[in-house]
Amino acid sequence: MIKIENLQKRYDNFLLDCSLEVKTGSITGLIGQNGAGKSTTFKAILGLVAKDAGSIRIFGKDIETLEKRDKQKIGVALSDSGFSGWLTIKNIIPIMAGMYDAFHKDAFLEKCREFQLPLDKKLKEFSTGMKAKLKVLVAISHEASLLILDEPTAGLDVVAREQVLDMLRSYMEQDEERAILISSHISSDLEGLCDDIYMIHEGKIVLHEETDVLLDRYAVLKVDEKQYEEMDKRYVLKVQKENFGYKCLTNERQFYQENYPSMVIEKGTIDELIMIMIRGEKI
Amino acid sequence: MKGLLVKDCKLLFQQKRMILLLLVCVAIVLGSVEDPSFIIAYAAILMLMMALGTISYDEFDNGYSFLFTLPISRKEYVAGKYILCSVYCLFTGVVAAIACAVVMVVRQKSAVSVDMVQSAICIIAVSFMILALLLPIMLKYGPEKSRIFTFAIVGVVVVFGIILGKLQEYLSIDISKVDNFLKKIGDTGFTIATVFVAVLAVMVSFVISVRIMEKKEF
Repeated sequence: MIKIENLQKRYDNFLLDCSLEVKTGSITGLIGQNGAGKSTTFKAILGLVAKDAGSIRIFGKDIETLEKRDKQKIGVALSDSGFSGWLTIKNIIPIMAGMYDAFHKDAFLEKCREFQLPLDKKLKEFSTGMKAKLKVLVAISHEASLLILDEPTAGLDVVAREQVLDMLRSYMEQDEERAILISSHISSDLEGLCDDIYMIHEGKIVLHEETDVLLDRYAVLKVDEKQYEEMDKRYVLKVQKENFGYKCLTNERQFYQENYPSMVIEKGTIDELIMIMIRGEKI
Repeated sequence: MKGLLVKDCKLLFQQKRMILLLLVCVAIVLGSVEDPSFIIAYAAILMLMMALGTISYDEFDNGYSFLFTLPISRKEYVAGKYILCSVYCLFTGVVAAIACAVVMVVRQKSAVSVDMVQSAICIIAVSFMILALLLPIMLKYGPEKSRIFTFAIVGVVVVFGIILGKLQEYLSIDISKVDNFLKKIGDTGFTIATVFVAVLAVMVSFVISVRIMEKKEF
């Protein structure tokens, strides 16, 4: 669905240099801190900023050669942008109908009612939650086969976040030929949603793994100085100095569980894995 | 394109109070002034400004980013703006011209003269020249900065005019040639030339605007 190879975008103090792939039928997450390069990657994919090098392909085509009917197959939600705040949902409906051949007005209206979104209120008067829900509803309203969602859950409370994620799950269940690229700085959102996760830091992809593997095989080893000296470090990806000794990130939890029964091994959440991945050092 | 034009019409509807005010002003002028023909320029340019104002609505709250993820090209966006502004400017100008003609015919019991039609066409053509100048500036600098830029351009033109006038006096340049040329081509020729310049200006302006938008990053 999306294939990015060696994409480069340079700003004054920042260089984005990444490659990633979103496969048909899967939800791919892009995770990273604020300013890590998530939005720049999205903007490059969407052609909002010009790339300095590399290639970006969507549906097998270079993004510069995408035609209108290809763009109709892409649904987008951006965290910092949407329809003009002066419009209402009632205004948006004829605009969407004019833009997308497959816009489902009735289904869209039904969802708006379900989420209690006021049809006559200007979008600039919407709450953060309302705006976020509307953006996702707009993205899924025209039978897109690819969703590109930049921080669709930013600023939402737990209930609203779950509602948005549920919408995405049911969107994927409707058709196996669909795919989603989603970014978030809240890793728990992506843990239960994504099939694979890319971690971006300072403009570079520092980790790519299937979510199941990440949660099952990755672990944090907490060892003292002596244990650290004696242990097999072949499967240690990163190490971080702590008061008690060392924290090590591994992608072979079982190996250490079997060979070092006395070692403290924590499965860890994606957040913890990210922290060591970013702050830790390579051996 | 259809979706874009619908969006712009919906956004223009936000300014319904201004449009109503414009209509009231037009009605007052038509009902009270001896020669209401200046209302053509007033209405056409004011309506043009309102149509240009949709750019501010598009830009509001970083709106461009999302707008260009929709299935439209940047060229189409620019074309949409030119179509919107041209249609509004032309429609308002023509309606105002017809209203003027009706008022003058009814009040002064005189037939519509060729002069009146020609001056109305020239006024509308000048409105298009203003459109050709302002749209690329609005797209390049955004609504806020473009205001300053427009003032600066008007200032430069005025200063240039004054300098040119003084220079003509100082160097004793004979401007009767220009006068003779205008007499030679006649009113009809002048009207055609004005329309031609307006069309050319809009075409050049469109090409520049497309380049500006295609280079922009959001």
